[in-house]
Amino acid sequence: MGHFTYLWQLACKSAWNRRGTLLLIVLSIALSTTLLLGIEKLRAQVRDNFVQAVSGLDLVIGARGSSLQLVLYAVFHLGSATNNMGYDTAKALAQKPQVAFTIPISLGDTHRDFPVVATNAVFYEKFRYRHGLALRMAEGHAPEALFDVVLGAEVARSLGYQLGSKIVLSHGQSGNAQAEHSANPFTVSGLLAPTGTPVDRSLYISLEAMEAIHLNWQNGLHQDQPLVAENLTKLEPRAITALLVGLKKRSQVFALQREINEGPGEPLTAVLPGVAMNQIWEMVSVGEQALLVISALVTVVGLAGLAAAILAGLGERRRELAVLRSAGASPVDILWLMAMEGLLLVLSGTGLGLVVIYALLALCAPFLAEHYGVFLALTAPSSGEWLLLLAICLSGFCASLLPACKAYRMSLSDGLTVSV
Amino acid sequence: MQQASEGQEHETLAIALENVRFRWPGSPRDTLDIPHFSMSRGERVFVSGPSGCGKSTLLGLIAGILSPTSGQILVQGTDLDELGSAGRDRFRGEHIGFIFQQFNLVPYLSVVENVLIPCHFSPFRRKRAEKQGANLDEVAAMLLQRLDLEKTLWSKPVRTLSIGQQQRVACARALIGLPELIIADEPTSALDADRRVAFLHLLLEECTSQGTALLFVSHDELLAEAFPRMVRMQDINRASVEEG
Ligand SMILES: Nc1ncnc2c1ncn2[C@@H]1O[C@H](COP(=O)(O)OP(=O)(O)O)[C@@H](O)[C@H]1O
Ligand SMILES: [Mg+2]
Repeated sequence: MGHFTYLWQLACKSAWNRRGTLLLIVLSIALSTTLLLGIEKLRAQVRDNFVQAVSGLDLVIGARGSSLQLVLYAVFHLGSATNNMGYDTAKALAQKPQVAFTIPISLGDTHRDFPVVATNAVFYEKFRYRHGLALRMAEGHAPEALFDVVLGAEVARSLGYQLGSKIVLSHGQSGNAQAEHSANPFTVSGLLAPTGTPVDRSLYISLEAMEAIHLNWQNGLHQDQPLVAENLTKLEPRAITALLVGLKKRSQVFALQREINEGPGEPLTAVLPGVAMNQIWEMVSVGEQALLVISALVTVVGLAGLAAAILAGLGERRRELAVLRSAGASPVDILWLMAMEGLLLVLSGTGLGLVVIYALLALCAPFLAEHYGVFLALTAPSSGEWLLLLAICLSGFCASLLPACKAYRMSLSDGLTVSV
Repeated sequence: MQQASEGQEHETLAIALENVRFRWPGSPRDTLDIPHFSMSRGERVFVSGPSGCGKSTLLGLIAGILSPTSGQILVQGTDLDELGSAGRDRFRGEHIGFIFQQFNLVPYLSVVENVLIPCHFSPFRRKRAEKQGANLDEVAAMLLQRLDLEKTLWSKPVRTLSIGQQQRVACARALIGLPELIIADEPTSALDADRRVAFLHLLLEECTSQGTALLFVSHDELLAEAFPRMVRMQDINRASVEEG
């Protein structure tokens, strides 16, 4: 048996002998680990949920303007309306050979503060989020009748709507009674399953329905009227808010973007949504940094506790260490013994923390996914998380070197006889 | 074994001190000032002196845990000063066994594990111990048996042993691997009076049969009669601390 194996055994037995007090240290390290890892995991997932609000889309195209504003409005339905783009232009873009599909969207109306999105059937078929997931109807179907509406999961849940519910849309952002499209109520035809994206907070109608409820507004009447048959032919929209574009080959995206941004005709802006959403995330994620700093501080406190507890325990171990010295242990052996104890505590602490965090994830993931559309993946620790774990272990080891050095000096100065 | 005499070569001595002075850091005067003290190999010596006269300090010097302020200390013919601190640690592990007044045992190790500690820190002691029997456990068992510790006690936590039993386990540990010198610092002080003599005889018997030198320190002069030689601290130490 090697010398170090023996020292390791001594360290383990000694620690087990004092397991009552040491358990507290292990628990505090486990807590730090759980917190740090939990926040890191949550942060990564939330970021992923955000950045992956749309996927499989190569370009977002709208009227010329700020690209971030366009993405915020077209994807998250946040911020102020941008100018519209012509529907003819959109149809022309859809005919381009590089283009696989296009999803036109038209925004502006709301229902009880939830945005209403007018789009067409391609949306239900081609829209993708979180690394390629397709939309799924929990109940019902996409709009078939003109005044059918499909609800995002959060809308249906918080307002308590079911299939067949009748709802009235409001013009613009405000919900005042005069701006209600009350003459043309909509019927809920479908409920979307939760996605954890802005889709959950939106209502979907057809482009034609959007056009229909605004006919009188466009005529300058600013008053709602039931639709009459003669108007039905006029229902093709003249303008939309944005066009979401999927390409046949991703490699063509930059060429097409340049062509649209610089080409003649209607002035347009084409944005790569992934890039823009990463930029937006960098802006909104300041809090995330603060969270990480706080949990790092908790870890530091935990490790300081480790050093303090080992130091406090040195008094009662003084004699034990002197006995080992008299039986042939060198002061360096004592140093090792103490350092190994620190390592043991830190390893079991982080190990326990790892178990706890995965147990928590496994317990909470189905609940969070079902009710909030927040998807926490039970994946093995990422390289960043391994680095965090390594950092905890290393700093814990370093923290335990402090009492180890004290024990080393003590065993030098004590001699063989330790007065009680 | 021959009786030691003044002119003898240091190589044949277990311990030789020449003009040794020692002062604790921060102390105004020397605790020890020993012009000469020696002990031949295999000799059993009783050193007596009142509490606080520097007996334990002397043992610390001989063990190489303390370094003399001046003077020379040889153990088994080796000048401790020439060894360096790591060398002294190894030397101590190889050649010296210790028994203290109390709390000799490591609480979280079993009786046998306690006896075997020196074999794990010193390969030298280990090799010697392995020659004493078939394997280390057997050697520990043999020593424990010779020291009158029944087998039923071996597996018990050392805390539950009586002080007398603990001291005998400490004896077995000091003896394992045949060190040339055993240093005993008041090993009987915590024992009941009637147990002291019995313990002392066991220890002396084992030292004699192994040919181990024994330096036994105590303030209790009644124990001295079991020893062939007795030395009073005040006779060898010029820095007497009468007032203390
Ligand atoms: N670790 C120490 N630091 C400073 N002084 C000490 C230390 N140990 C002992 N002394 C002093 O050295 C003197 C002798 O002590 P010691 O050798 O323990 O005596 P004894 O063993 O004969 O009772 C005492 O005056 C004591 O105060
Ligand atoms: Mg003493």
